[in-house]
Amino acid sequence: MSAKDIIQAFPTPASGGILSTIDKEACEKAVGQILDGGEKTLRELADLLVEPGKGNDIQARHALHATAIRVGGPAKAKQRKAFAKALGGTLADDRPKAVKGFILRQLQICAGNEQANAIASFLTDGDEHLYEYSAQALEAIGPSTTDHFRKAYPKAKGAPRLTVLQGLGFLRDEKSVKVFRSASKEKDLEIRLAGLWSLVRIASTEDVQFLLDAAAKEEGWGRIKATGYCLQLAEALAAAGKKKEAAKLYQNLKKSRTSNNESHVRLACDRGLAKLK
Amino acid sequence: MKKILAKTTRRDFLAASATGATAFTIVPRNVLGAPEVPPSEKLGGALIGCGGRGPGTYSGMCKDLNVELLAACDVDIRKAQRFADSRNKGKAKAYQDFRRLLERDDIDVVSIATPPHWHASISIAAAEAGKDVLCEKPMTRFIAEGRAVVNTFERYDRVFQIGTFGRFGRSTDRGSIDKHKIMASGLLKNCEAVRMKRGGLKIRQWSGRPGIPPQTIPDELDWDLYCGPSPWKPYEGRRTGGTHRGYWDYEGGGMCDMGQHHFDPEQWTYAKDYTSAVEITPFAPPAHPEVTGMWAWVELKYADGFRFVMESTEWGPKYDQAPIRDVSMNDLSPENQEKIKAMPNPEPLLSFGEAVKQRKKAGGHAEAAHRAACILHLANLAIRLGRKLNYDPDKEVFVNDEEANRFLHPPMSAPWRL
Repeated sequence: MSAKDIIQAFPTPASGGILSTIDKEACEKAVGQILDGGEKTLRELADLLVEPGKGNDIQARHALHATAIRVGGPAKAKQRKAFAKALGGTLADDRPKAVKGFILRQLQICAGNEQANAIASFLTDGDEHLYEYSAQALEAIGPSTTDHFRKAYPKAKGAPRLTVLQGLGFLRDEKSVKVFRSASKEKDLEIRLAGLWSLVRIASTEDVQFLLDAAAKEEGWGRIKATGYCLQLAEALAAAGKKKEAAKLYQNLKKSRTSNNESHVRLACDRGLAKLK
Repeated sequence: MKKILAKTTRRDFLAASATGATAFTIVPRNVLGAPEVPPSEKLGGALIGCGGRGPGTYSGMCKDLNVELLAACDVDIRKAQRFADSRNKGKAKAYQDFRRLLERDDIDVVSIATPPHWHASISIAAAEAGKDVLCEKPMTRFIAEGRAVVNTFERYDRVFQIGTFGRFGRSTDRGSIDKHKIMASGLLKNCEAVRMKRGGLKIRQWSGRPGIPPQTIPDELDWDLYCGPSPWKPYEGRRTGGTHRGYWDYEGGGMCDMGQHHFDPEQWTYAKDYTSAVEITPFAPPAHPEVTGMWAWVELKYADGFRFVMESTEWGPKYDQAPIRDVSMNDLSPENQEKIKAMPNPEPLLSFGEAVKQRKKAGGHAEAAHRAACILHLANLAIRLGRKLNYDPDKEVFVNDEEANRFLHPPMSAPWRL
């Protein structure tokens, strides 16, 4: 059975444009047929995907997503791995970038580290936000993907660069501490804040003074966020039993945030210090 | 920037009370000999998200308080200007970027009525800027956002109130108070109660329409800022306005639109403000990747056996897993019934305005709102994943289901992050 025939089990928009005529059993049977068909059927299914506005692929998208979802969960590792491998393979084909974006979003649901190479090849691609979908899929896979972010960072420009940096922070990549510190001194506010946030995610005592100094230089929105990061670092250190360093953060902030509109920061410091006792 | 005289006094008071307090509670003004915020004391107010529910949410926030609108913000600048002019022409300023609004030090209270994918990030930023917040429901788009909001409001001791108020009525209703005491007491073992929400969740109304072609972004709309922490997608008009509810990127269909209204008071009544379900069982067809759609029912079972059930009545079979029944005194032994009668009633719930004045938690505080939002998110995740889920309400993760856990804290689009 071809993919085109299988996906007829999925609904097309009914009255009001919604998918109200959906048949649960028929759709689930179709998912089984897609999986039984293996790589060949999956590739046929991927070939049915089109760029938004260039045709009707509602059933194909629905079927692919339903399959990506249903290979997840307990005791399905083998099925999930086989499906993700085949789906990851479709990224190498000649397809519109918007379609690849959709495939990347499905890999975010089901991919494992085996697909990281294929996914990471889009980390610096600014078209159709592929860098964003690629980063989010890798982040979903987890810390085993940090190498890909580290390799991409020096090559990335503009929005992809911020996304890659944030990915390293999201994954708490300790090998990127120098990158985070360097980013925290850049001209671009969002890069600086991503660097500081990433250091907080690592929560090292060695960055206490660095964070305080960096936050003190910020103004406006930057100061609001950077001060918040200092407080988060204090909480993380306190939770790890590093009370001395946490106290240093609180005491410094309490002393330096003296304006009327930062009274809530002083209050947070008092509460934090009280919890350390 | 304009300064409101009394605002500085309030903040000075906060600082003074924090310094003087040995515990974590803020001593109210009246205890210190100062009155609570007097009628003459004016707070600076702002609304973020000026379409749809925005104006009503702002008015709700101002109840019991003397608030002057100083700022309004919307990614569609025309809406912000319209609201600013309608409430305080010439004095209230319109913004397109909420960050500029939150930088102002003369704004004390903020109501947030954006689409839900922005609720958590803006609430967190507002608390970091020292503001108190009344935020529209649903509180969040995913579960990790809720925990981050709770932690932030706890950190800064700011007031958070969710924009649904049914629990206030329950908290003064005799029958609800009795049920609350029974459930809070822990005396009811192996609870067999099943509370059903049948219909009313607007499943078809807030189902999305898939396959709409991309459209030209209107000049007045900052589309990138609208997408914000959610994955970027090509613009099409139905992703904005009330129809945003039909997209997973921004809300969660009728479940999230109406669910917090229904389950927030239920959660108070059955004393579940500090926990979540441990087993979630759905009956639903495979969900579409972009738009919300049909489902039949979802059962959420708590560790004590208590169950919430939602039945759509708009698609599929009826719920048939257990008889619907409530909690009653008759479920307890005569001895335990006496213990319940001897229990003190729960503390009265404070409105947002009273909470701001007294520097105490509002009735619909962040933790309660987060747990109520979790009911909706857990139900929607079970619908989307199409399988029974086991959840650890303390660690807030699914048990033995790595793929399901990917939905608890999906990566956010830079520069937005928790």
